[in-house]
Amino acid sequence: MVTAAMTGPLTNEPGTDEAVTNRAAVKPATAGDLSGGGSGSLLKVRGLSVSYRTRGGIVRAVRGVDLDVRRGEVTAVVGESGSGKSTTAHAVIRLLAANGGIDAGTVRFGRHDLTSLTERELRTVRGAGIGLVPQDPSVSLNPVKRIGEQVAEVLRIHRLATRRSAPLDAIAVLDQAGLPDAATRARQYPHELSGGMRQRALIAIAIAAKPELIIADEPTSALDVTVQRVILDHLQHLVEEAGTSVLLVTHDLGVAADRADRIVVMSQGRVVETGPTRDILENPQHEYTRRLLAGAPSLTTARFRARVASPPVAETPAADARAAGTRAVDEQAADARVVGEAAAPLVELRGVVKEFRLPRTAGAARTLRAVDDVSLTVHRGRTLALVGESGSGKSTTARLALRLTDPTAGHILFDGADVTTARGTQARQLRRRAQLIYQNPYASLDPRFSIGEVISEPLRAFKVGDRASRLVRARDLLGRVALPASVLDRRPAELSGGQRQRVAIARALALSPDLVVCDEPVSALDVSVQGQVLELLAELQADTGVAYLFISHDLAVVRQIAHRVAVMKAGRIVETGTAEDLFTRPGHDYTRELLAAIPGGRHRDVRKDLTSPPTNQPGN
Amino acid sequence: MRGYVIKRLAQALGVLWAAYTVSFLVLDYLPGDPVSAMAGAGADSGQVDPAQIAELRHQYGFDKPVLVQYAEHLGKAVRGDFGDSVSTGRPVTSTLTEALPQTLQLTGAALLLAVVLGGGLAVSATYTTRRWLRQLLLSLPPLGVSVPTFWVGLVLVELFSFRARWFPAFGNDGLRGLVLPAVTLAIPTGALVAQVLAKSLLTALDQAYVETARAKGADRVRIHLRHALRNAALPALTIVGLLAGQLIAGSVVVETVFSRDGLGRVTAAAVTAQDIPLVQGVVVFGALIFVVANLLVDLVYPLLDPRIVVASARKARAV
Repeated sequence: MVTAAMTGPLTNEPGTDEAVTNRAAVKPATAGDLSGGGSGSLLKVRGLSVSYRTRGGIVRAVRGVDLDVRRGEVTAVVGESGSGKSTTAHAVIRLLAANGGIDAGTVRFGRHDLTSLTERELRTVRGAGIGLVPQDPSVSLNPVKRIGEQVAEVLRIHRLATRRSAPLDAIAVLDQAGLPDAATRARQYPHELSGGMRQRALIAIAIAAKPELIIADEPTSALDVTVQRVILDHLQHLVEEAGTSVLLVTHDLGVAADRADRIVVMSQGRVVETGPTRDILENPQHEYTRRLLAGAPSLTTARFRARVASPPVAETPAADARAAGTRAVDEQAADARVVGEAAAPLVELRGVVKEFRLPRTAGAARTLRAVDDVSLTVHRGRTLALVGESGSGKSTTARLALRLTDPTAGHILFDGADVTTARGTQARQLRRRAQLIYQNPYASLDPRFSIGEVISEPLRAFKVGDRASRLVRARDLLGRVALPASVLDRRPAELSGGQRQRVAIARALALSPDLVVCDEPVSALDVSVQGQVLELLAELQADTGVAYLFISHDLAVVRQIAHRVAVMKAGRIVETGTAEDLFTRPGHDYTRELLAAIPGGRHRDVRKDLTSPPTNQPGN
Repeated sequence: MRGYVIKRLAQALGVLWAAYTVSFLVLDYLPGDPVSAMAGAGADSGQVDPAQIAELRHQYGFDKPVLVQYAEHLGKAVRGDFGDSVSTGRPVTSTLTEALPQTLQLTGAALLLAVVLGGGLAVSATYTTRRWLRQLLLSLPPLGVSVPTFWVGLVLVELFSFRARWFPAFGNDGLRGLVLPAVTLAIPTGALVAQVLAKSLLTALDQAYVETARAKGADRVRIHLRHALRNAALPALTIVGLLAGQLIAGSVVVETVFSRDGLGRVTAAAVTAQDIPLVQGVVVFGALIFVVANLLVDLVYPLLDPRIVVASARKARAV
């Protein structure tokens, strides 16, 4: 039987530390037994092809993929959305959507070919032999079951615990996964836990039966960077201790660089390059890999932001020259404008406070200070980035600046006028001069509108021009965001994520606003597209002198676009400064923590070691 | 939790009050009043002494201003007194409470059948891996909703009473008499339950947590019953609450078709005879049943889904 062979040595005392250590000690012998002389590969995928049947015909998502995961090693599959990386990972345990199927290839795990097992045999591998850490912790736990039950379920399914012992074993596994106060958490429901804690619960589910292989599908991309690092550190620690192998799927080359022994680069369903991590990063052979490396915000030092009067600190002359070369003239013009108007800020927040009422507990009314005495200024033609983790109050601050929500205290000035309590006409004028770009371009465009209608909607709302002139304006705006005019009659669904975000940018610029609030504008996009959109934003700023209030949790992105950065934590601004200062000389501990959490840090260090004498650079 | 219950109770009382008020206003606005109906019932021709009518109006209080009438009646209704039926002269409340058990039996049996059959249909349709079977099962609910209740009743009577002689065609005698009416009433109801549950089951089976369960090695039965069903039950439960109202309305048709005594028959008779106090009593009673059913549903929600109470509290925060 499949399970007997694979979990045999591991079934004793699930959830205890001894079992883990035993397991590690036993490993070499077991490895020899099971691999059958297969050069240390635990998982061997050969010629794997997967396709989906859709309305539009058959989509071949994965085409002839080969990959190996060796015992005790981490293999990262890297690629952009649609590259087939996630499909490959799911095809390994045959967890494909109902319309998906494996057309060809073998998936050798231990001594079995998983593609030829029956569904029943496969169930004994899933969970016990191979654990899965899914992508999005907010939806991957059953909302109506307690955390403890969900962990215990794995043990019960594979008969690793009795009905009696399962709850306690589950707590032990949760504890092992690094969930603080595991006994209490086990009795709670998913919605009562933070994203990071939920991901730990999911890791607990994956490791509960002590599998030999863990498939981690973008395990932390939905989490804050600092949480991301802690979780990945812990996962790494766990698998190292237990000698578990990991197939890590990620879009973030930085994460792969930090965590993987080997990297497999996928594009359009095929493996384009594979090799040891260091080789891939330092000596990429394939053109696509090079492009991916150049685009990864966490690994690159390219700058997109519009140049301003303050003397730039050129860290990497090459990158700056590249960015500057294309737009030298525009930037000079923008510089002039900026210098002239820098004295009077466009937007000013003075001691702004926003409190939310919390549900009554034990009779006492409580309030949450989401924004606590925040003061900031945004200048014309400049970009101020608000950086912080989820819940830090950065989005609320932006909503306050846009007057989409009322402050509890403090003042908001727009172009010198106090708009704190603006109503009616004044508020409407403010709407016209301040626009918003949302995070998710898939949700922020009305699917029933044509692109032309989407872009000209603000013009219609403010009754600017007639039909013909609005159309001309829409066409002009499309040109500015580098989309062909033929897009005008299409629907949002026909465009890619990056194209949609360009449309959203065009819409935001339709009324020639003074301020555009960008709420995580690139975090839903692929890395290579992120770079293009950031570059576009910088160009438009240089051309039009628009000011950006740029909200992001991603310091690597902020570094590319922002002139000034304000770091928020728990509703307060803990540090403000120019982007250069903040990144090279962070003053606050929290800023240093954020910087250290950017993935790809190890790789950057490696590069530094190779190319220049060590300096007292932060980053690790 | 206590706040949640109090809020739902207050809402229920609000609905009852609104039902009473609206029915009062509508009935007041309609041409013809109970007294002329009563007089019409008393004498075959229209020759009734006007003085006698005036006397009756005074006796029932119809000569007072509308608002005063409303206040008086509401005051009585709160104490459970809806006046006397103008066609039988018996108190409305006792007429209704006598008819109620029959109808509760019928609707209760129908609801049970609807939930069991509808739920079973939905689960089998989503569980089967055979495409044709799933399509076939999923095409049944729309059919069940669209056939008229009285037609189903007549067909059942024809088949199982007149031809097979298994069940009686009419009357209130015992369990055997209950079968055909309950089945008739359960068909459209169960179809709606099946429709909604199948839809939400398919949605639930598409969720990421189901993939997590599959990755654990769970089999299809476990995934269906332990993971998807409980999440999918909420929309179906909402429908069941709403169907309580429809069942009362359906009992009018079914009790007429099968000549059963009950609230539906009383309603039909009261409307025909323009028995305004009785009609109003029926409206408020129907609203009461509806409100109680939905109150029960609201109270079951938090047991099924631990997020519900929190969600209602969170809404308050977003103000």
